[in-house]
Amino acid sequence: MRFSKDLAGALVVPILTIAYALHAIWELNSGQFRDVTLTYTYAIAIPVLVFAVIIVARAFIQGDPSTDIGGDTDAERAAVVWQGRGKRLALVIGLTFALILTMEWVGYVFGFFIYVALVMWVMDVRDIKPILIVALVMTAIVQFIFADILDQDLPQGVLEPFFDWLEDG
Amino acid sequence: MFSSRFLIGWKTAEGEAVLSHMVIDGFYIFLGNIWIVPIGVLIGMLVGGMPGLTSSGTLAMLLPVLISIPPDLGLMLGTSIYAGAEMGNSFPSVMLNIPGTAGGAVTCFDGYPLMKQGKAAWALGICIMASVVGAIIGGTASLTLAPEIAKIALRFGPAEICIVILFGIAIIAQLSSGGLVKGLLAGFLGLLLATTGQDPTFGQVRGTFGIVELFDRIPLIAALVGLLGFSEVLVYVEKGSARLLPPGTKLPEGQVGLPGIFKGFRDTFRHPWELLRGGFIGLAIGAMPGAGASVATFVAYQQSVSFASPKRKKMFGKGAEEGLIAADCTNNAVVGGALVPLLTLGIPGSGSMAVLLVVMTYHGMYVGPRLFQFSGDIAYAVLLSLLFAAVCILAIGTVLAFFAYRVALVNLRMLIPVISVFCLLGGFARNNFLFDMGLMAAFGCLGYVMKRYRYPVVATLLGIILGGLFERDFMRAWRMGFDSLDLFFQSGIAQILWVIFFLTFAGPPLTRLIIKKVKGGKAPAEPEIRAKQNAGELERQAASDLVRARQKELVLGLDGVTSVPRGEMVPAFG
Repeated sequence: MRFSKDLAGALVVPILTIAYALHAIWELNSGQFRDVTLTYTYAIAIPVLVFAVIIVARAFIQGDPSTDIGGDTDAERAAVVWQGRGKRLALVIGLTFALILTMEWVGYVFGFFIYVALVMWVMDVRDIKPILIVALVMTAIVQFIFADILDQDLPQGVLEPFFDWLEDG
Repeated sequence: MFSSRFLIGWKTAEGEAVLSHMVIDGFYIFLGNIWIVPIGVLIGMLVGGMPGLTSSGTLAMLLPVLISIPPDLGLMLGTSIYAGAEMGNSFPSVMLNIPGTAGGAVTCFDGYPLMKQGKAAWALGICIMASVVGAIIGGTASLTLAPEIAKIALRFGPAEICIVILFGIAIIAQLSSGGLVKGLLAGFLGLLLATTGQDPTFGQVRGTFGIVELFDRIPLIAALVGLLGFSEVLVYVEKGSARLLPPGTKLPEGQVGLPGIFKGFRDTFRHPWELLRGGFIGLAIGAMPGAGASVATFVAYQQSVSFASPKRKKMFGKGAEEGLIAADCTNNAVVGGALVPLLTLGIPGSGSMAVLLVVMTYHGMYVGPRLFQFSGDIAYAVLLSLLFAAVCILAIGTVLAFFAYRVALVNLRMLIPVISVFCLLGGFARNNFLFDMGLMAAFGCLGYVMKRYRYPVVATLLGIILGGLFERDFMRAWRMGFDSLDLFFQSGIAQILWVIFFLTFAGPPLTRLIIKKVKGGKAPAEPEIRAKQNAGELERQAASDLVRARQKELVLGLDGVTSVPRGEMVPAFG
């Protein structure tokens, strides 16, 4: 038996899918749903389970190489995954969710400005001038196009009194 | 206006009068919004000229704008962007040997050698004119075919629509580079995710985990922007690509001039059969969900080589204009082909079409066979805009030919946060919920993992978008069949659809078996059979290897054509 070099990653999608399908089946069986609704859910969930199990089995038996992520040897690829690119990826995902979770209080103006600047920093842009310019321009675009013209109700956060004053004034 | 005779078919005087009325109304809508087409083509060309951005990802980012403007304007803009991108990808392909999108990979094969021979202007002229012809063929064919196919599709009942949706998902799955099983898992996962929220028939709530924001089903825009747009951002974050050429690389300055471009225009018409063949290949493959421009261009290139004389065959890969014509004509004909299943059956032929489908759904347009019945004027306006886009490609492409390739040199590290912000706002746009923004990011992470492990994200997207329709029609057919599946197999149309479905999947292995028995022994070599029966898969892999090999010569930051190594991300759904 040969194990996939990237087994954990290869199992993410099928395992999530199995969990979701089992949850769907459990929820419908424990609730007061019509027979036809049950039939439909089984008709979708059971093939999902079958396909997911096949993929899991293949990942263990045949190996499931991920797409090329660079590096000519296994050691190089491992280094690529977790020691540079993986860290950068985790940081950007973390920053994105942090922005979403804090936007209600921080507000979109400061939120997007800091987000753009930090993401550029994470992407190894070290020159302050382009960081500030891009962050400012993006914030201006968000304000004028999305908030003003498209009238999206973005959370104002700490600047809410200021925007209220602008409206009243 | 919509009498029962009209609902049955359009072969009545009343039906024909309504149809011609729709065409005229569509023409006036097109004329009223004609200004958006050159804007869309310009945006598309700049997007297509920038390796790292795809038309589907860009359209996903622009969703807040597309849904804020009237549907006719939004659909015309989206179509123009798509058409422009399929031409714009040729600029960096010829000048820098870097395809702007996966559909431009084949242009590199003969375009770049021509640039090295000092014939860049001529090559670009050929690319532009071939794209124009391809757009005209695609637009004309879809304008004439779409209403006719819609008439046939009007006869589809709920059971037939279910079969068509399943067929669309299965086709994408079969063309997936990760394999059929992964493709089917992705598609059925989308259908399962679409069961979240209120049941369309009985109103019972499922799969919400108690989250109120999910009671009204998964927000389509958040899912689409996440799966198509934000996942690409994460791919580029992982790659950490900056510029595509090392600093100090000498650019091909001063090669582009009007005399060369005009000569390219004229010389394109010396190969009318290449144009026609490329156009029809693009149209046919564009209409297949999941195939896309990359598959179409490789098939057209392969056909071009096959039909060339032995003397001309040697020129392919070294600057044969036939190869260039085949690639670029096919590229733009794909746009017309992709519009056909979208407008007639409500099945998107590509990721870009999936975005347009969401725009149509958002505005409450009838998606499916009855689109031409209820919103035929808008459908005709969209088809006419594709024809006008061809004219715009000629004009704008000639101007951009002088400098558009420089767009490929933009530092992607600065673009990544910009694209992220657009994606976040895209997720927020529909309901103004921060939850939707988070859901968009979550779908982005899922899409990234799926692309990484070669699951076709558009199969999932198709499942999510069409899942509600699929469930509603499934339940309807179930009830009409007296709580059984009888209706799915009773009508003639359903039986024909099942036969096509069966042949699509059983065809290749059956053919291999027959060949083996006929030849009485050893079956033909696997690559030969796969090349004939799964042309898309093999040629995409070959293209990936070839382009990767070529890019190593330039020592670029990317390790492959934007997403070709990743299977389904861009090649099929640019």
